[in-house]
Amino acid sequence: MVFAVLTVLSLLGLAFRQTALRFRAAEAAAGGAAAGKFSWPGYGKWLRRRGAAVLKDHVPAKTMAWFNTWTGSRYPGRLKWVFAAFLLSFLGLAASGFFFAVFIPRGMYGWPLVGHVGLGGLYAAGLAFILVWRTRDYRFDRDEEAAFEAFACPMIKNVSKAFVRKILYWGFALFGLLIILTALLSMLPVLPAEAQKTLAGIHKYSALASILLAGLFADITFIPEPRP
Amino acid sequence: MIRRTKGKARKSADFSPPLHSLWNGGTLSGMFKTGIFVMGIAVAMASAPTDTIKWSGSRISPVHQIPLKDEFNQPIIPTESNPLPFSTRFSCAPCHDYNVIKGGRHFNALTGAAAGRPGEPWIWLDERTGTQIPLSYRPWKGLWNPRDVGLSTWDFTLLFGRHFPGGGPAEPNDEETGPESRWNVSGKVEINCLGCHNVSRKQNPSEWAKQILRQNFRWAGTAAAGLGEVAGMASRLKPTWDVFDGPNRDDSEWAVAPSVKYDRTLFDAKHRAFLDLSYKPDDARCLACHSAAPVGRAKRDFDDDVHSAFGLPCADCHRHDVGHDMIRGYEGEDRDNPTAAGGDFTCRGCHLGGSTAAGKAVTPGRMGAPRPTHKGLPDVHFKRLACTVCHSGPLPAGELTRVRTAMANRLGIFGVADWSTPLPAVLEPVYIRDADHRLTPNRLMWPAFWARVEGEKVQPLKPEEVAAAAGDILFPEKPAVAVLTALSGVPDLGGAPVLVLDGRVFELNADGGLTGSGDSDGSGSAKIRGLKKVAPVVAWAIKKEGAIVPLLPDFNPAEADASVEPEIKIQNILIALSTRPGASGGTTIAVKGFVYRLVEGALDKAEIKDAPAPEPGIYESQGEERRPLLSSSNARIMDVLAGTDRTLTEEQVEAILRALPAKAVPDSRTGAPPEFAYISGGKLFRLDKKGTLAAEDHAAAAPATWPLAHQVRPARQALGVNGCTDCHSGGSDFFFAKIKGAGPLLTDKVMASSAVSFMGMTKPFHKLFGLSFLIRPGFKIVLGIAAFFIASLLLILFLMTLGRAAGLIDKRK
Repeated sequence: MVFAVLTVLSLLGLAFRQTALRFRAAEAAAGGAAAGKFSWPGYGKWLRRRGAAVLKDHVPAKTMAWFNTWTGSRYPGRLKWVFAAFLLSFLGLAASGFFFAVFIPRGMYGWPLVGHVGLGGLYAAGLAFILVWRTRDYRFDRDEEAAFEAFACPMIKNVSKAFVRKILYWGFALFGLLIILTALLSMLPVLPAEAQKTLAGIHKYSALASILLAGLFADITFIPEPRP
Repeated sequence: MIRRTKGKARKSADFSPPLHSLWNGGTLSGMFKTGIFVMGIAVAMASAPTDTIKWSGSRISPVHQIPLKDEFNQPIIPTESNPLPFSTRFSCAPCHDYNVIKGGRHFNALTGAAAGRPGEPWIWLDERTGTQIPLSYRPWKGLWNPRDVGLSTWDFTLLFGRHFPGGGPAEPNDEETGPESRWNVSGKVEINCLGCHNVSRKQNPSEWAKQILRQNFRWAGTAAAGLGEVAGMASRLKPTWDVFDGPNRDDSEWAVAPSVKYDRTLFDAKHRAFLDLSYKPDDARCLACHSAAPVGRAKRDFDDDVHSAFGLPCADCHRHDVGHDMIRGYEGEDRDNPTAAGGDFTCRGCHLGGSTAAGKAVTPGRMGAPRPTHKGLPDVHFKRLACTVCHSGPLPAGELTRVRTAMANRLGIFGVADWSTPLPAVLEPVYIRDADHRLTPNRLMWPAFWARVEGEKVQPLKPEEVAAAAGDILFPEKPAVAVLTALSGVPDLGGAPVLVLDGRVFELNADGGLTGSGDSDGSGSAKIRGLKKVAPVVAWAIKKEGAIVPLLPDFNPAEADASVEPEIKIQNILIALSTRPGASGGTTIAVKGFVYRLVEGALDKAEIKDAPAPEPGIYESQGEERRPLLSSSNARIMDVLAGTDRTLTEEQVEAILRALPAKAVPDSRTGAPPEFAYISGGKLFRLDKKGTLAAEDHAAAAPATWPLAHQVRPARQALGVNGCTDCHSGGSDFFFAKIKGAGPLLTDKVMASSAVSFMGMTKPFHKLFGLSFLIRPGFKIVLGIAAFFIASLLLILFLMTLGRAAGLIDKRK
């Protein structure tokens, strides 16, 4: 129950943040709302307008365009399909996992569980590949070492956007590892039943953390400038 | 210190005169004195405490050297002539409140007490009519209430008293006794306290069953406990006899009134009897009625329940107080029956702890119960499966395991006669969801009965109604029995007469029926010599020194000299056959173109010239028409049923379904005869519009199921000990064991299903899910490799970060 409430609140919060930032960016670009002021009615209108636009627009084509742009330099050739598989598996896992965790008291079972487990393999392999392939781009360089020295609140003001992205990236990797390890350990006859429950808990919360980190990563990477 | 609480006075009827003293020559003044005495006792007892003993804290049980009382609350003097049997109601009453005990689990089926989880039903078995109806007074799904199928408490006691601990329906109130009953002759079956609590090796369940069969209800407890020797049979007494009448002075051979001769060595000088009682019943007492074992397994191969093997008696978990509200030990019991401490004594309660269904916290480890680790077992198994799925009953196999239970198959009654029955077929384990939607292993039996059908409703018929309508259809062996019985009287036959049917040998048994041996291919235990396999493959023969030889020697009737001795034998055979029931007097024997018959007591021999000679054999003749002594249909039925535990064929069912309407009372409105059906093997059989037998599904044909809890296997023999694939595989017996309807009817038209359908699951999913375990090792490797790379990268990152933070990397550079 706690997990369900936490999941709903955090996902709603993430969605709100994503949309609100876009709204404010759009407002700022249009020279509308005064800086620092958030207009709820305006946000509501924007949300409706944006929603309708998304439905009207050619979503698949736009998504493919984004995908090609994003992978063009990062995942050359057929490697982009590895990224695609990872992305889809991650989204599928998140959708199936959170749906059952929040709405189905019994939890996941049956065909969705089989699908979830199957996607899990794809996710694990994809994540390992991406981390190996992209690690070089997410190394912490010397300039960012100052951030460690200024590791104080509010740290967000002391570090660059690139640095936060790297933090999110490695956080995503860490929680991904926890997700994979908990899945793997639950399939091995090594831990007692009580530990299985703990594993399931870690798996769920790691998944929630993963999706939130991914959301924040997207927030930093794709929210258009200028930002408020 | 013994504390007592006040109770209400007994009914005055409980203090009747000492009738046995009247038998011994009581006088009017004696009766008067007795009356005064009884009134005095009644007044005294009206204010006497009668409630239960509270436990003082002593952990020993008192020695029960106590005065025994009869059912009129009079002391038993074993040296008196014709003493009455002892009564538990009054012998145990001074300390143990009988009326409180009556509310216990074993005795309260009629009271509407909480039924709880389904238990084993009583199964009304009548093999001849193919009837096996699961019954219970408790409102459990799929069972018939005895009242609804026309069974009175008297009938119920006669049928099931053999394994009944007394009380309940065996000790009905006066308003529950019907006119057909003989309670006044037999007495009622009081709660048989000693049946459970007697430690003595003399306690004899077989004696109990025998006394119940003899309708010696009030004597059964005394006889079974070994307190005395009971003679006589109430079943043979006139219905007007009652215990006031005493011995039957008119008949000392047949209708002998029951009497008891006490073992005087058990009594002391004050006529107090020593009863070797135990607070906790021995396991053997429980198992007398609650045994279950796989069919066909040797006793030496059978392992005890692991709890028993570790020295834990049944009563350690199945506890109760004086109310005898027995803890059954299933999960959810404390919700069903809040007054019992059920939640503490479940598998989880002792081994895992946690909280009960009613929310009570339970500390695990009771009586040293080990805590299982269940390594690698996903939590969903604990939510969706009862512990017994993996730990109890036989391991799943391709087909369900057939077991016999004491209550269903009359086990544990020993003597000259074999009381046990192969039917009903009880099968296990079939996994069904319980009230908490957990899979639970169950036993299963398929009901079988004849029924009157009205729309979708079926009403079972009593076996006697069916037998009356079916007549000889139910007795295909009857003509053969008559022939063999007649042949047994033939002088110098040279052996026991037998019937050879398609290679199978049938001979008379002690019950007046036939016992078949051998296989239809003639490979039976008895060697068959000199019998030609001709159609119809029916031959009357002689069993001589283990071999089967022809009834008549091989001879040529045309040769007068060679025919003398065989013809004497033929004459004797014809004389004997002419006396058999149903003989028309036209019995003939055909031998090589000659026909023998009796004409006015003398042997008549006729050669057949102008017609084809009949096959050699014995015939029933009317004019020129010859019929075999055993009709081809009866021979066919006997042949197919021999060697099976089935008692009916489709042919018989079809014939009986035609016969039943003829004997039935037509519908008062339409004038049409009612419709009848037979249920067996999960199907309902009735005649279709063309008059042929058709099988269909019907709710009433669904199996009766009840959860099994024992035998619990050791952890290392649990299902799943070899890994997930014990259950999750493409050909898993757990999910895909075949479940086929079984019943008295020999037919292929039975309900067929797989275990997964009883679980309420889908077969394709579990096939695929099971198959996924083939690739699961590879899947684990993928996850392992992925985890290794990710962990390595994170470790490198961590070390580098740590190095930079510590300045180690800079110094190195």
